[in-house]
Amino acid sequence: MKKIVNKILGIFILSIVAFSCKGPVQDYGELEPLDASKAVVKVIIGSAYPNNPLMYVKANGKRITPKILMRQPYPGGGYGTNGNATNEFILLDNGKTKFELALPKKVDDGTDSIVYHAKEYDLEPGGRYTILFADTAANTTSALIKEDLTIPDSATFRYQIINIIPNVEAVDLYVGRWANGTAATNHTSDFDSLLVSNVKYMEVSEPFILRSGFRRTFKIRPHGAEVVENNVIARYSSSSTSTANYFEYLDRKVLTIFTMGYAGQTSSALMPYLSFSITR
Amino acid sequence: MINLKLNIRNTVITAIAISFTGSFHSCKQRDDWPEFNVSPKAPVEDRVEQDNDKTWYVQTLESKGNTMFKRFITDSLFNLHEGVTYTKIQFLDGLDQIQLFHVIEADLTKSNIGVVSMVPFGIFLPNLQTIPAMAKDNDGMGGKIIAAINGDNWAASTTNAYGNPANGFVSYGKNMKPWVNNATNITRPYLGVKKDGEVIIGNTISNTTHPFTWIEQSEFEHMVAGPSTWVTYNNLNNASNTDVILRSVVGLNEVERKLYFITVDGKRPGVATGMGAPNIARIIRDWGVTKSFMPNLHANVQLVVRKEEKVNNIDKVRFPLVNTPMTSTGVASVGTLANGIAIVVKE
Repeated sequence: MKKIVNKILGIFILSIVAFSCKGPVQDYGELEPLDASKAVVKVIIGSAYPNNPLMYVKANGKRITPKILMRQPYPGGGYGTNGNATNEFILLDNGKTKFELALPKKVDDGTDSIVYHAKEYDLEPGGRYTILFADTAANTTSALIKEDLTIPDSATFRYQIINIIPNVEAVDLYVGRWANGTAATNHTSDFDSLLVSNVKYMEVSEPFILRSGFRRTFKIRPHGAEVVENNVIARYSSSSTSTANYFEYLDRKVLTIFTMGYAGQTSSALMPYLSFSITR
Repeated sequence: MINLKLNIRNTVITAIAISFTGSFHSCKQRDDWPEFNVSPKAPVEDRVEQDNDKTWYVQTLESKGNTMFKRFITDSLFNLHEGVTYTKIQFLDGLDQIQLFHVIEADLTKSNIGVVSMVPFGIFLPNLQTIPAMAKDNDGMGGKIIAAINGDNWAASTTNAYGNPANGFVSYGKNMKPWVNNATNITRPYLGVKKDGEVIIGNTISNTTHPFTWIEQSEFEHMVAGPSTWVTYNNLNNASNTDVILRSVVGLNEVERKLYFITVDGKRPGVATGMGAPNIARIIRDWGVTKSFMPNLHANVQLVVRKEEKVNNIDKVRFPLVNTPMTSTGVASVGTLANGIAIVVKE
């Protein structure tokens, strides 16, 4: 009896050892490693429609995004967006690439219902880009901006800002005291500092560095407007709650600020936004 | 089957016997400790303990027969820089309570010693930060920070008052918290550094009994105001804030032009009890602190000193706390503050 028990125990222990030594899974599927000839692209749809439709983007006739919302950097996301808070990119071949923004059919059969905009860009080998679509219907337009994926110094964030609000010629970007939410009554202009001036429609600013780790509110006003809260087009406080303050706890991020929507609108689909796409 | 039962019983009995013997073995006293050849630690540069005598602070309290200083326990004095010292004093007070004082003294007659305010993150935007981090972020702005202490109380508001100190605040000539000449504000003390460099503790305990002249904020390069908790005012002592808790004190010996940052530890049984403001006043008055106030309490009581060290051959500067901030319920906690005050060596 004892021998039988010992044999069973021995087999059991040997099985554990044998299984534990099994190597990790080796098959990751078909991989396409990034090499110097490839380019990477992030997509931001800034076309604000009242019914907030899902749209997609194609590159050389092939969908490169799922159906996504406006203000949803894809892949990844950002702060003050409809996306997550990560920093992925889409891998594409370099060379001439035709980008299209399209609306799917009500029952998506893989074909386009409406192609709002199509434009060809030349992607450099090793290029890092964000492509932004702005305005609506026949006025839809796009801009391809370069991204710098190098990490800034510790205790800093690096930003650039692009303005894609169609009905504002140019904006000024300010940073000021933190306050909860976006309601003007919560905020004050007392400590607003001008960061970037005269960011024209569809133009991107020079990169700039700001200290990380503290609470603040970013604001945009029409270029040259008086520094009062009534002139603020859109604002973003670095946290909506004290426990989810990304800007307060993160460090060494690279963010592309984009302003979208329509000045003067108040519905959530059309109102102006100040959002942050995470480049790195 | 019977054999199997016997085997199990024998195994259990053996296990119990081994455990029992082991328990005796674990109680055995070791007597084979080697003799350790312990050499005394080399004194740390710039932090040389001066001598084995009692410090001037203790000698003064004893020679004056201070009733709040019943029995000396221990003290240490460190030279942080020429004209700036840090002293730690533990004693039994007049109520038989153990007390631990941390005292920074700066000789303002030395031309290279200055006083500056500190802003969170070293940025002129209302915010909150602990004093160790704030000192690091402010180091170099107005000189090399040697020591720093917490500032005023503040608003935690999520509206447009976030990071506002409760009272007036001027930093490097920028008016961070305006205030006006009114009945409330005139009794709130502040440490001010005028544009010409003169350091004062301003305002009055009462405009009726002790009339004074209001000084506009525009005349200051730095100003950190506190709540209405004076500790000493000329020949008067605070007689009301008697809670036995942690407290921070900013004071001036106006005759000898010495600035004091003092923190009183508390809520640490067997180490530090804490003190009411009247008893603190009795102690520091004998040190010649003629005007002093108490900017903050509890977890916001924070005193730091400069510590320079090499890590992997790279020069590093830290500002560790020398006191132990605790909440009102005795939980170790380091609060965030809207401002602070620092003693600097001008470069």
